[in-house]
Amino acid sequence: MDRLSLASGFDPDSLIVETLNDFRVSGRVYTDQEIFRLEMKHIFGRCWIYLGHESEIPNPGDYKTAYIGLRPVIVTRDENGVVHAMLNRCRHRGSVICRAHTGNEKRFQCQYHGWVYGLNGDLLGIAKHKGGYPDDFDKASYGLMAVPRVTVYRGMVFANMDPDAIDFLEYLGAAKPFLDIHLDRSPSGEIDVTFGAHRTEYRGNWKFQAENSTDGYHGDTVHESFFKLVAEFGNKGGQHGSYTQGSVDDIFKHRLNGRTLGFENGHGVWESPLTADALDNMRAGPYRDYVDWMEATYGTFRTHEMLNAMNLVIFPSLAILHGQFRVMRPIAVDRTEVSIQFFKLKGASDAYNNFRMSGYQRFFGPASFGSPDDVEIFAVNQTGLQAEEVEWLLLSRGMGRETTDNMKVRTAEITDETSQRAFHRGWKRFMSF
Amino acid sequence: MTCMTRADAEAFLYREARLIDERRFEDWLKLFAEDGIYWLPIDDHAEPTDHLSLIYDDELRRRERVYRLTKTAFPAQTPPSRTQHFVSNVEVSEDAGGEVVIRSAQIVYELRSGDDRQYEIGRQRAFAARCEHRLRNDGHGWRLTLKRMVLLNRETAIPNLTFLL
Repeated sequence: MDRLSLASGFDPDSLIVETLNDFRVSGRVYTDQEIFRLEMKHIFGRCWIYLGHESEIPNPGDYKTAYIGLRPVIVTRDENGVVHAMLNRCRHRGSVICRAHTGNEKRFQCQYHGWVYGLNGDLLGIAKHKGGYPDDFDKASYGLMAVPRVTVYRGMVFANMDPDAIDFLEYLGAAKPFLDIHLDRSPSGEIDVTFGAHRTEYRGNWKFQAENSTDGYHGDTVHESFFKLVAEFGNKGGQHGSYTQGSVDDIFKHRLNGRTLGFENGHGVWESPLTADALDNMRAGPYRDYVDWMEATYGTFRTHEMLNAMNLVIFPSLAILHGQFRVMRPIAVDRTEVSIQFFKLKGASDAYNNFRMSGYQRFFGPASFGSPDDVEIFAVNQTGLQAEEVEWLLLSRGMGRETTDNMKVRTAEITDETSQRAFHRGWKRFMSF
Repeated sequence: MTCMTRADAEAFLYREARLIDERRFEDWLKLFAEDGIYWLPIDDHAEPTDHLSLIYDDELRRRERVYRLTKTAFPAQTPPSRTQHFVSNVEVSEDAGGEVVIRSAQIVYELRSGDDRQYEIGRQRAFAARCEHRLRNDGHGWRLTLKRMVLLNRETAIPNLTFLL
């Protein structure tokens, strides 16, 4: 189900079209093989990509594999505790040199001809070196290729294939406080990302999950089943969302509160405020110590703000929401993996963390009551886009009520497509140079 | 209390499989004891609070699951899954606490029928699993205290597990 590649040159301006009250995206952005290939270069070759969290590789020798677009990557911690990100590709003939997801090794040996690399990527040994290569063969030039830029922000490892990319925090820009809120919810300021992953894949373009992670418009239809379930059973088995309990109508009404935000470079936020009685309800359960700590630390007003349901997308392929890191991994133009890692808040009680985990697992994961419905829609989307004579997808909702502040942050109502427009403006920018 | 015979154990597993395949989900719920757990782990060796599970359902979560399947419509089950279970390699033992333990191997085939040229529709998938059923006789019959299914593909990216296995 692939389209023909673009016959002529690639022109982002013809694919994302914006006027005062209209914003449209060409279906080809989701279906064209050639555009997908360019994305791997222009988007995943230039943007800051999340590779994992330091807590996943706490000890010297620990490693995990990850991907930057299609590029296989190894993230290691070396003997001195330094984190490295390297392309998982032998410098000899191109084989991957590590085939496990995670583990602990002193060195990596290529399975093909046995070249050996250290935890920092240095080429340590060439099998049967003598006579096969000149005596002055410079092993130092043939270490694993390091990902040119790696930065660790509060334990989160981000990498960038572009040596000239702007620094991560500059890239994040005005979206930074929203990332910090997710981490500041931890009493120690630290999180623990060692609980495995819920992995799924869908037959659709990777951008659908990125757009959807801050979409406030789809919930009442795609997740109506879940809201009926909450109305029927309450949240005894685990809180999800900012609404506590009520009828489906009450939930729908509450879901009209809040906002969406769009940032420079393509980042976006969806934010739904706590209900008025939420803090009192939280005190009745395993939240009690936690809410007390939060109020003592941040004050009541700020506590309310910080406990809002808030989803952040860091362009292009990371979403942070409901105590999870969600990574969208493009596999092909119409095939995407979504890997979700739940994290615990270090310093919060086991009872509270387990309650969070239970609430998370109610809505997220391939067998849960929420996220499988989202990914099903992405396959539904991809199928519909084969009707290619209908050129455009409409992403204009709420343009007329959008405001822009002096940080160029755009804000509109919670069901508006503000963050999706920001995503596509970012996409267009990175695809244009 | 005597241990179940293998014939009794097979009959229990066959009936459980049939209740799911015939979509008699409310009857399936009644197979469980009130403290029973329906569990599909991702890490075979971890506690459910130390690693995410594909499914970790206590009684409430199981009722929610069946409510969602029987009383609501949602995209991942529109159209709904058909399933066909195969049960084999049945072994029966009794543990120190007097619970009967049935070990088995199962394959669950799953397919959603509809406009089957669309993505996700008309795809027949097979899920192989090692199963452990633990049962307690409460005087009125055998009830599940645990149904634990360890899928062969448990750590891989798995689409749509919103049907009962």
